[in-house]
Amino acid sequence: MIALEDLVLALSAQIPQQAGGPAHGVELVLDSLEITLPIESRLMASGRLCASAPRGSWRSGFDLPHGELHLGFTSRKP
Amino acid sequence: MSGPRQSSRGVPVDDFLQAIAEQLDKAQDSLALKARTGRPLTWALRDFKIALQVFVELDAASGQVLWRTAGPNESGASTVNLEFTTITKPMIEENSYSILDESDARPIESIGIAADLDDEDKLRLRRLGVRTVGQLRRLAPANERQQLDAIGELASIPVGKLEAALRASARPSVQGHETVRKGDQTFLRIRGANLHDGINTEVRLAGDPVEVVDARPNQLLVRPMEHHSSGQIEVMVGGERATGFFRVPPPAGAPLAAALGGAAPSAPAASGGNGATAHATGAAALSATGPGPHGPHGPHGPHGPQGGRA
Repeated sequence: MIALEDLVLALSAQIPQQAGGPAHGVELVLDSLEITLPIESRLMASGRLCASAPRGSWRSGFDLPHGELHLGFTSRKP
Repeated sequence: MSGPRQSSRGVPVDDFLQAIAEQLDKAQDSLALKARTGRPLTWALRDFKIALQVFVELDAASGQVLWRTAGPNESGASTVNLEFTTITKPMIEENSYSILDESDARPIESIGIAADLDDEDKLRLRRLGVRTVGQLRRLAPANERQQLDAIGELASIPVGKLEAALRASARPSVQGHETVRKGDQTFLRIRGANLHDGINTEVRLAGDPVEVVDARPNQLLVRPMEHHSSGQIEVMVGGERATGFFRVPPPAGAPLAAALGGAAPSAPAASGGNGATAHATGAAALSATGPGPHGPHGPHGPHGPQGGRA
């Protein structure tokens, strides 16, 4: 598991905001992005939340119950 | 599947909410930093929702609600749904309690002993949103007996305790001081509560009456005399008296012997004033140079004309 903020950044980095361009004859720009995914999470003693995408079934069968994360991003020009 | 493990320790909800807000701020800041790398577009986090599988527990001793994430194969966990959304700065300011606007920001614990409030009473007040003395006074005005009865009933706190708390909250209190230099003049700013009633405030430094240049309920500006280097602060307002200790650092470049040669307060450090501990310690250290002009207890003896206030 990783810190929640790192998970948010990792997920946002996976999605390109632009595709194509003049050379391709068309350019696509994403205005907004919605991500919903199941997560495994753990509250640390400090109160910080660590989370990750589900890591699949454990051989031991002791799987963590899944929560859910929904992120809404909007595109911004610097 | 097994039930919840009672031995595990949960995290106070307050701590969790502060931590997750900090984590989201960090994520937002990191996304904003990406904009400086020359990218034409960046993402900004607009909405955030999370559903967590947790066990909700109550710590009976502290009254805190704790959350503990469900472990592998634990059944019976609650699903907690949290939703954060972006708000603007004016919205934050509109909906936040501002400590700067608080007329009396002393924690309620500061009057707990004088008001005979035990830990359970203070916990009940916190649940009503009362964390400072100023909030207590706004919640329960001293002259509104019926309102006081209703609050006592609602919070399960004896009305007598609330009345004692209000009486304690209205007494003057010295909490600290600082020196203020304007040109070649040195002033002493005394911080505290109920230091001015709008009519008259009398201040003595090391037993000497001094000029009060500016008086407000939470601070006084006074002009020490030249020989005042340390000693007891006495503030008399509305028939009540509050005490503390002061120390005026010598001006830069003053010889150490001259700095230590002023009136030393000696024993007042043991007289029960409520100045900051560091100031009291400093005064006690200087007492080795000998008693001041009024002897070890000043002109009114160890407790002054009315005795110190806790």
